[in-house]
Amino acid sequence: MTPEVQTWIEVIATLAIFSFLIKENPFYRFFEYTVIGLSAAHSVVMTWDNYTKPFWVNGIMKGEYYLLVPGAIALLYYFRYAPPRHQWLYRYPLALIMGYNIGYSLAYEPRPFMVQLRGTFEGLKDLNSFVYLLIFFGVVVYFIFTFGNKSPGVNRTRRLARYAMMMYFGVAFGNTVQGRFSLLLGRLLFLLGDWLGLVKLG
Amino acid sequence: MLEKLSDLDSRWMYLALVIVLVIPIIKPIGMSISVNKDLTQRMYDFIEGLPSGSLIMFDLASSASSDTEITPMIYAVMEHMAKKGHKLLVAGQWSSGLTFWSPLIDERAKEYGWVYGVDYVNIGFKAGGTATWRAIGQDFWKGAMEVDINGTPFRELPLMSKVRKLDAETIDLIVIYESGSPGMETWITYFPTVPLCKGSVAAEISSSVRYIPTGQLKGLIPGMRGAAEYEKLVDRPGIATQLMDAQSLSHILVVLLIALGNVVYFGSKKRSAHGR
Repeated sequence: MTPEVQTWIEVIATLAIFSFLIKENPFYRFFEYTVIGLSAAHSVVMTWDNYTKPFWVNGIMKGEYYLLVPGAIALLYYFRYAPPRHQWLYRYPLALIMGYNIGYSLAYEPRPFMVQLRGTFEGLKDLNSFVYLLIFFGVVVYFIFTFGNKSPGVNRTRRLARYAMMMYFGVAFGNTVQGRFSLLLGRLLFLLGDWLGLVKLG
Repeated sequence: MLEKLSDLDSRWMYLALVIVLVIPIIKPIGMSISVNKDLTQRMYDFIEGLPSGSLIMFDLASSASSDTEITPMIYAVMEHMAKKGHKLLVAGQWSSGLTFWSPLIDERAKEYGWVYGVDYVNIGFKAGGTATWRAIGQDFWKGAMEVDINGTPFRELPLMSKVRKLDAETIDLIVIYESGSPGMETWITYFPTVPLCKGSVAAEISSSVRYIPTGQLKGLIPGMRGAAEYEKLVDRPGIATQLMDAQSLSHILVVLLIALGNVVYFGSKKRSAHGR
């Protein structure tokens, strides 16, 4: 496929997706289904290339036959689709995966949080760090006293924590909007640059 | 007037947004870009402080949908690495990230005159998630099945002779370009001793900055804005710089629309209260 044809397909697809902003239409619907179909097809090819093929080419065919054992256990997953009396077999690979992940999580995952916790109390040197500590305690109080509490101190602290969390959510939402604009800018740059040639690209 | 505004068709806002975005792309205003000292500057300083020839690993934990944000970051950091003479190891927790950015990295590497296998290597996607990375941490070659993205054995790639483990003695810095999970938690949790920097899509910034004061992240490029800052630091303006005017103006439009929305909301509330 020549680059020109590729660009035209991209242009038509981009305009079709944006046409949804005007209103729902068959042009948009066609390309929406095309994206879903392509994604599914892409996943199949990627799974073959990244999982199945390396398992055989880099593993089994190089004489690492022991890999056939976990491979056989993994195949038990498909008993999920077997008649009901055989379905229990699919629970074995699931149990192994869950056990492995829980073990790993318990061994390693508390550490980053402990570092974060230590960081909360370290370096109380400026107003920012005191505000941070105050909010930290406020949010802890907020989630401990989730049921009604009549103490005015607790209620005031919960209100402060709520404001702090609302600010955090606001920042997160603002950043997300910024990110979405970046995506839109990318498409506009493609239309104005690659297609119409009105802009010289970076 | 307020009633008219409250019933305003949202398509007018989309149109206003497109106009605000398109004009500065075609005719840039050249608004100044200041560098964030706590995020982008920190990352730049960390890479700047590494001795020449240091090994930096890229983790492409993102996909094509983040192209506009991530690509300028990758280019800017590669520019910095080329200036400092650092070596590059490309990996990816997302296969889609490697599929999309590997050709772009190859293209840039060619421009810098980097020799594959000597100055940079792409190990490709390694299936198995954190379990595989733990195995790579203990024995890089065995864990990564001893082949790169093209199936070339590691023994034929001179750079890989130095890479036997994934630890702080071998890898001087990991730069993750992330837009979701699995992402930097893999490195923070299982490889806490290896210095880590992050190129983050804008949506992930607020959940990442908390790792900066604790040193779990050495620096952060926040979204396309951060990419423009990094382009300024390495003195090679690219797509992010080109799009900054449009993004800044679109933010002004959004702030104005939010203010207008509030005026309309409180105005109509007041009117209905008076009406009663």
